[in-house]
Amino acid sequence: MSIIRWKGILSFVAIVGCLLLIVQLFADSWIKWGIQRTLSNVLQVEVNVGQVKHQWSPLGLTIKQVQITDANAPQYNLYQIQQLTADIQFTPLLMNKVIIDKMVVDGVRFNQLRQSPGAVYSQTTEVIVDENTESSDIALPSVDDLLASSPLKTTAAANDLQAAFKQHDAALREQYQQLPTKEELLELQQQLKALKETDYKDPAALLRAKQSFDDIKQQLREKQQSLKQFKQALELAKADIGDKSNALKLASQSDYSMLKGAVAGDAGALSDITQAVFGEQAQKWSQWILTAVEKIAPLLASSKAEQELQERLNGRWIEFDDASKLPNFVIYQADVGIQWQQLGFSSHWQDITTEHAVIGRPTRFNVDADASDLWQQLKLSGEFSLDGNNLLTAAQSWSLSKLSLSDLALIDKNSLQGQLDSGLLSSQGTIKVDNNQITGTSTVNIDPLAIKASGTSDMTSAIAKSLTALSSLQLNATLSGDVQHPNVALTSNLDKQMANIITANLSPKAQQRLSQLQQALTDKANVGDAPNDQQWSSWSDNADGQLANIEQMLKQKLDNLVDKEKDKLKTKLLNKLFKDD
Amino acid sequence: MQLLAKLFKVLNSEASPWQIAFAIMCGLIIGLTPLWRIHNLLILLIVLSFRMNLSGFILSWVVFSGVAYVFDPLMIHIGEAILTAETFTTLGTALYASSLGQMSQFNHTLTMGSLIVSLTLAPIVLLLSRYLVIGYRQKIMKWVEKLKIVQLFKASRLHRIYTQLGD
Repeated sequence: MSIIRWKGILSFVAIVGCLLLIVQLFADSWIKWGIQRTLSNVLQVEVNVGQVKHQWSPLGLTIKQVQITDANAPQYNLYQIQQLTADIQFTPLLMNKVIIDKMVVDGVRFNQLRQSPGAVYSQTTEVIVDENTESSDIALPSVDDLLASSPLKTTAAANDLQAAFKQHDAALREQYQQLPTKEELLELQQQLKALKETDYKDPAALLRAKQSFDDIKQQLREKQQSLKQFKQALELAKADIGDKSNALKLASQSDYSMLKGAVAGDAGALSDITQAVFGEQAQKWSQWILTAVEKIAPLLASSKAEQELQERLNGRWIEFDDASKLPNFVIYQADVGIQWQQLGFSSHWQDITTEHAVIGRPTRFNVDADASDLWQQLKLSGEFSLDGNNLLTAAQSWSLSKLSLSDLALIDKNSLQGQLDSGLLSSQGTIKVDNNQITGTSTVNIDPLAIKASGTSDMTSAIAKSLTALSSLQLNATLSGDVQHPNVALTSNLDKQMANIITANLSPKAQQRLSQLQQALTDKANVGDAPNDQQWSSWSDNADGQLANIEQMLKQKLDNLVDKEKDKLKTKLLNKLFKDD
Repeated sequence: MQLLAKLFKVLNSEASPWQIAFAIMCGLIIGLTPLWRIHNLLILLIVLSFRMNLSGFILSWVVFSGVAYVFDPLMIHIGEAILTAETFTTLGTALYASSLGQMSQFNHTLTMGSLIVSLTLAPIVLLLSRYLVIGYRQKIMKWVEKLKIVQLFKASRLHRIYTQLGD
């Protein structure tokens, strides 16, 4: 019996043939399933692919009807792609590398309604809710709320004063207790008096008295020194407390100035009327204009993280020195056709990858759309790259000229409703991203502008009236925070206009609230007054009295007694000498 | 149950111990390494071309695929150590640049680790399998058949499956 099984070889050929046939028949389904699964894992939302077609030579893919659910609004697609074609290199695929020379994407649309809500697998995308725009109504804050929520200088200054007083008081009290008592001084005074009034019969007794007298004086000088030091410390403490009391008064005035606007209805202090009216739209505009940096780059970072996880589970691919070192994934060139409203325009991309260090270049993108029914010109360009820790570095600039706006809902509160009827928007701006943190500024000029607004209260009616009166508006936007959820802070001259309008319409109720605020701040300042400083005055008076006593005692002298005794001795000596002669 | 029946079927078949042992060895390689690799096509060609016991091969493949799940992390570690060893750099670079090397996917840590582990174990498994098959047939098979439990087994559903496999 031969060891070769000829039928087995035929079976092998048949099996391989069957495998190839199965691959040919089911490759499209597998690829479709793979794309859906991979993107769903990365994005944590339902991803649908309508149809996939592959071709072997040259190796390529055509993918139709890709829908990516919006995690924040599952009934909508974040992106929708009509058709995508890609030319793929075959050999790198064997090394698990997806190298796409050219990709053409047609019919990219944003925020399209889905047939049925898509699944959201994980709420990784945090919904940033602007408290100002989401509050149920525009209302004036109460005095108590304002005092509680505001970082008052009065409170800080009062605390500061109290702390300083406590510290000085404790130190002075200790020092005061070390000072000489009245009794001690009285005793020393009596000792001095006794020494002076004694009639000294012999010189030796006189000399001893002189020594005692000097000792007492030395004690007096020491006590004088300690009293002077105490007085000095007391003066310094008083000066410090005086400075802090003045600071407290200034803080109280400053707080009143700051808060009276809010109490009276200052628009700026009401957390910016511009933000309240245009904030929501500005967020949408920023999401649109920053799509590449806000969405695509983090998407690539997520896919890289997913890939790294898979590598840990299933093994990784080791690179060896090779002249043509390739990243695991790269699209060298991509043309993306975007549909926005009724208008289509293209964006061009180079080097879309997750491993910018390997190719040594950042991903670059640009849009240069000429005049259309929708705008006069749109120019946008930027680049981004991911480092080894998936942290994003990016830069982008844009210039949009005369984008036509119509029927945009601006604000819908109980007491204030507003809608932008029509307008032409122009915007320039630049942003930078370092380590996933975005910083940037932009100017948005809407001219002409027509707003329809209405209010229910006196104040909101005044706001609505002034909004309706606007014929143009310049907004300044500042972008900051995490790249995926940037904060867009808006300011404009509208804030000042609103403040003036509201101050002019100050109601009796608002006047009453101002009085309440003033009283509340006064109370706070009073709490911070230095505790009763009569004690310090009393200490100071006592110290002054004792110093005067010591001064007087130190002036006393014993020298005349000694001189008197010397004279007596001299006379005695002379008498003896002349008698003998 | 079918697996157990298959095992007895193979052991009690007319196939030679070498045929069974080689089949088990090939099943070990294909079972431990990732399936969609070019070397596995070669293994399949060898199994089908030479007179190896196909049942033994399939059985071994299934068993070692299960074993692989447990030892994958260890094999990844071994593969990583080999591929990143300085002494391997020259060979690795040459393979990486060649078409055959690229097709073999040698630079995948799990592929390399599992292939090295399975090739190392292959001769041991080959000889051990042959020894066990011979031992089973000479000493255990007859004794086992006399056991009451085996007689009970022969009356069971498992035995029906076992016999059906032969049909």
